Amino acid sequence: MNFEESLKELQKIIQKLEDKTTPLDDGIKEFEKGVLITRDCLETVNKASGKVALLQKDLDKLIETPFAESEE
Amino acid sequence: MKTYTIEQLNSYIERLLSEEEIIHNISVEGEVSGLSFSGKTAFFVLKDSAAQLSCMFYDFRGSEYLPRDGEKVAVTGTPQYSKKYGSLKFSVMSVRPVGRGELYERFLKLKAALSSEGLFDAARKKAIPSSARRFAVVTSPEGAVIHDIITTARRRDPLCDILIYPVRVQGAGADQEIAAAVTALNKYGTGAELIIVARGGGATEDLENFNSETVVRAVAASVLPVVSAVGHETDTTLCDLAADVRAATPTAAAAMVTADIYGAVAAVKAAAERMSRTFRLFISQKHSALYMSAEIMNRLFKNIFTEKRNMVITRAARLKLLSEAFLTDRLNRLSQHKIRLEKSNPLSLLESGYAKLFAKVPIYSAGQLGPGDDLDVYLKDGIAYTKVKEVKRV
Repeated sequence: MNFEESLKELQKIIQKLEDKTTPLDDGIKEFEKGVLITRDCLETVNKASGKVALLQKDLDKLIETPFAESEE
Repeated sequence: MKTYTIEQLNSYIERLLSEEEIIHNISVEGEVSGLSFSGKTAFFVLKDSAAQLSCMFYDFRGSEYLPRDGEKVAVTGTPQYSKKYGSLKFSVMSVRPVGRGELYERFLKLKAALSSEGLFDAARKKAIPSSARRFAVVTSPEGAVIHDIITTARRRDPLCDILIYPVRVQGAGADQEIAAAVTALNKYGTGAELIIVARGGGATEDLENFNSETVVRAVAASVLPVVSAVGHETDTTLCDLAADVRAATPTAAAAMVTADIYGAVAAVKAAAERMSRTFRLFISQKHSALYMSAEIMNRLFKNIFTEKRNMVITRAARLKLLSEAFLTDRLNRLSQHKIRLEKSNPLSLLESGYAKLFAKVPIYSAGQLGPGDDLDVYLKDGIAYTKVKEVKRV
């Protein structure tokens, strides 16, 4: 789930929690779901990291090699 | 020898210069350096291999062309001497580039030709992904440009992949490299969602490769959206025109195509906080609903209890009343019986002068008696002991 989807999902949960007719059990389940979504979302940012690669033309393809930025 | 004041000398030099009309309104050629601005005035030094000349260009904003450091220009104007400061400055009226006239003509011609082919049409422009997961950069792998792009992209979205297609961005043949890179990125699947073609600012000649027809055609033919971030905002290259969008700087290009993840993270955190608050409210509402139900139940129970209790009390009171009435009734009846009983007491007859006879047993009949029998006569106030003389039956 990406950030926009997570945000939308959290929004839905908030709406359900704002609805007085939502049964207690459902409300608790929704809240737990929301906590998990938030945790997943924040973990993705903390853990993952995109790569920077240098492309090199081979015969019929482009090869990725790690890119180390030169110190300036 | 005569000694002059500075003012006298400077005034003399000033007069000499202003009278020397041969150097008024002349054109001087040289290379620009030390360009700076102060308000409406541009200051620079014009140099050639042998000498230099300080220039001031008043109200430069009206000029169609503005020189940059390192450029060769011809300025038209008049040297002016300031007697106050004892300095000479060339007052520039107009400035034009030198040595690229022919180049510029070629640029305009190519621009018109490509434009008539529709390569710069707005209708051709593709939408640029604003949160690319992976994008390619065609630029030099060294220097500030790639550094700015990586830094900016990383600061906004640490998750996106950046693929650098290293090319030369200046010098002969660089245009072929740039065009080949754009073509290769389209031809071979790299997963890149778009291409940024970037180069830092530089002299106009340095940007020539981005005015090349080869580059324009490769960029225009690109299926992947292309962001052009070439040179300064003031120079528009043909590559900029052919690209789907032009970014003012490489930094701006990187910001344009990456999502602001940290902004999104903040938004998610804010939403999560709001959710927690809402949840607390939700729970407390449920709690008060429960409490209220309990309260209602309690009250109902109390009401029922009170009602039953009152019923019992009422009935007990009625029972008490009834039993009292019953008792009174019985007592009354008893006392009536007593009265009647008393009335029928034989002793009470004695009161009214009657006497009761006993001869060992109560006597009711003359047949019970014979002459000589002892007979006790009970009167109201005493007993007479007598003897029967004679019995006569009637």
